[in-house]
Amino acid sequence: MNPGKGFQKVLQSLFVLIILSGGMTSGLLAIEPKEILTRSLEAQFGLDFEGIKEMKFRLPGRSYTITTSIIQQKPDFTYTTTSTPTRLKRLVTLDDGEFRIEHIWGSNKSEFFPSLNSPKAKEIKRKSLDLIFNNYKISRLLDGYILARPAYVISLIPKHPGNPWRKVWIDKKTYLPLKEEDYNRRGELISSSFYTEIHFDKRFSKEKFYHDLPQRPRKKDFSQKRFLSLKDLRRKIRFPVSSPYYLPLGYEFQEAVLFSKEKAVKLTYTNGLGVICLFQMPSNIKLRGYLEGAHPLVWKKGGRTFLLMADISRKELIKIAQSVK
Amino acid sequence: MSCKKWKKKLSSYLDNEVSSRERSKIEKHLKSCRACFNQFEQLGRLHRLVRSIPSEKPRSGFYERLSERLSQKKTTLREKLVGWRYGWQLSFPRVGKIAIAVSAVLLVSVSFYIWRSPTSYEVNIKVFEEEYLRSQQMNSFVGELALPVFFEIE
Amino acid sequence: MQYSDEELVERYGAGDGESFRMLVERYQDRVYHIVYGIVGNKDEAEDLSQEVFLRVYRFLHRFKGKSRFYTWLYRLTVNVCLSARRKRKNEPGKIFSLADSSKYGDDPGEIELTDESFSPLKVLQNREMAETIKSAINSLSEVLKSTFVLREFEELSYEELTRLFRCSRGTIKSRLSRAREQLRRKIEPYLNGTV
Repeated sequence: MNPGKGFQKVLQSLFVLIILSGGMTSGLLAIEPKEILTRSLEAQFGLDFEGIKEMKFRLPGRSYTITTSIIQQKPDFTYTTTSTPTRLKRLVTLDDGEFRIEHIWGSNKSEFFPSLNSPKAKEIKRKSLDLIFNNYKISRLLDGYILARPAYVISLIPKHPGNPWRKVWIDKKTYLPLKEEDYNRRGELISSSFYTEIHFDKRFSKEKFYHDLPQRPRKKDFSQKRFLSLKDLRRKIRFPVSSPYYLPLGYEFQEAVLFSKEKAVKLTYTNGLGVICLFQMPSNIKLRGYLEGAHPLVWKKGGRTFLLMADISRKELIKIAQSVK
Repeated sequence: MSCKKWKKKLSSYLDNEVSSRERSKIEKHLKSCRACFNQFEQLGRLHRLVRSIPSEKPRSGFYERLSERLSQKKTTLREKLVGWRYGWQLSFPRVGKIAIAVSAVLLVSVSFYIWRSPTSYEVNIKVFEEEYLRSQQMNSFVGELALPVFFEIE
Repeated sequence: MQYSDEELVERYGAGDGESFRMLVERYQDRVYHIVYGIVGNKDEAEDLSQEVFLRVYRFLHRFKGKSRFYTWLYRLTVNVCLSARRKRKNEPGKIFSLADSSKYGDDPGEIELTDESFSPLKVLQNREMAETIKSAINSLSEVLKSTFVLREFEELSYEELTRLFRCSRGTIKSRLSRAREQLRRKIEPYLNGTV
């Protein structure tokens, strides 16, 4: 045998092997899904881009779509305008890391909230991610494309059944999540959010966005107050706050929010993805209206009215309610 | 005409709020009547004295204090009147049908549902649904949706 | 840019929050001065002036432009003062005194001199005179007082006053005449050349 030919054959096979493993290499040197998610959290706070996002929601009995144009500038500036539905057409939001304003353009109606880009908010998201790592099986699915951009596709399946789950598409280049599908504990799609357009590395002067907006508020003008611990909340309010002693596996305290003119308290617990909200307020506040479809658990105790909302089984809801002290 | 009646006219004369005919009549009388003339002089001095009182100004920061009161007032007046704050003409696009309960969820202002009757304090249950959605969105990866709190007054 | 009152009201109606602030800043001193003239003490003047603008905020949408803005504003001002007084009907009327002005740490020397010539004696005399006049004005009945204050402080014409008070010209004439007569009698010594 000609040694050259043999050598060629080896080369050929090696070549083929390399080609083949090239496909597998991306699997072998694969970035861990956890790492992808971690990077995507950073991306949410660290990119400049401009895009249009569509959000489809399904609540019991109805569904709706909201389309917003978003401008995001690192590290903490977000500006959005809404194009649909028509009712929200003049809604403008601006978040600059200190506060978030929701403003009806052309009027002087606006509401101020704690920023969702602040270090506090980022911390909440980071904690959620840690909880996801604990409570969810994170798997990488076959890669996909969003807006012609290659994307990692990650599925989050709950370790403890009876919890919501999620599928997310993350841009390979920038790690920005570009699409997300949320499913309830029964496996029904309840919401999907995705970008229909996206352009990266566009920079704008932030000043012009403040132009039409009312002035910066003082902290006390916020329509809500957010607390990262029950202790902080209790320090702030005069009336006692009850909390649940029982929580489904994997759920931890996320935040407390004071709203409705500081009369209502929302305690949020999360397993990273799903949330349990316990609302409480003085009993002399009457509840009006009704919710179609799934009803929250409502009860009165000790001069207060409670509401409990979560995407968990009725049995679990009742268990939590009974443990509230 | 007795002096009493003339004297009554002096005030208007001082303010230059008499007809030219009246004016010449009054001036003629003042030339001849000492009592009325003195009275008029006194009115003139009174006028100058009053004008010399320094104009009082409020303490600085008037508008700031007003703003403060305005925001406080809202929380009490809300319980009395529905929509007083929005009495002015709205420049928000009209919505023909309320229909989409969704919109109500999205656009519910917590405060609006609290402005009901003077005595009781009411909240629409949709407010809580909205807050629940907010918490859900908190954990979303594809940015959070800032659920707007604006509502529409018919 | 300098907007007219009416323009500001319109802009406010279209949703421009700044316009309200501009209106307040434009009129706060005048309103305060009028209120102070009618109620006679600074605490109440501050309180009621704020009340005036709270009402402006509340009812501005009702201003249809049938009259001038300041007519509407001053009418509101007078109403605020008069209703406040009515509420305090049983309270003894507050007589203005130096004690009030010292509350805010007023320097007695603050009284302006409208006279060119200056002497310590004159300052004292002026101060005393100012107090006396203020006290005299304060002793007028509410209706006479408010009419008088608006005429003297804001120089509103009789025409404007009839629109503001929604009464006849004869009534305005009579009120001013009576107010002046009462004041004249009260401070006659000061009007007879001792100043």
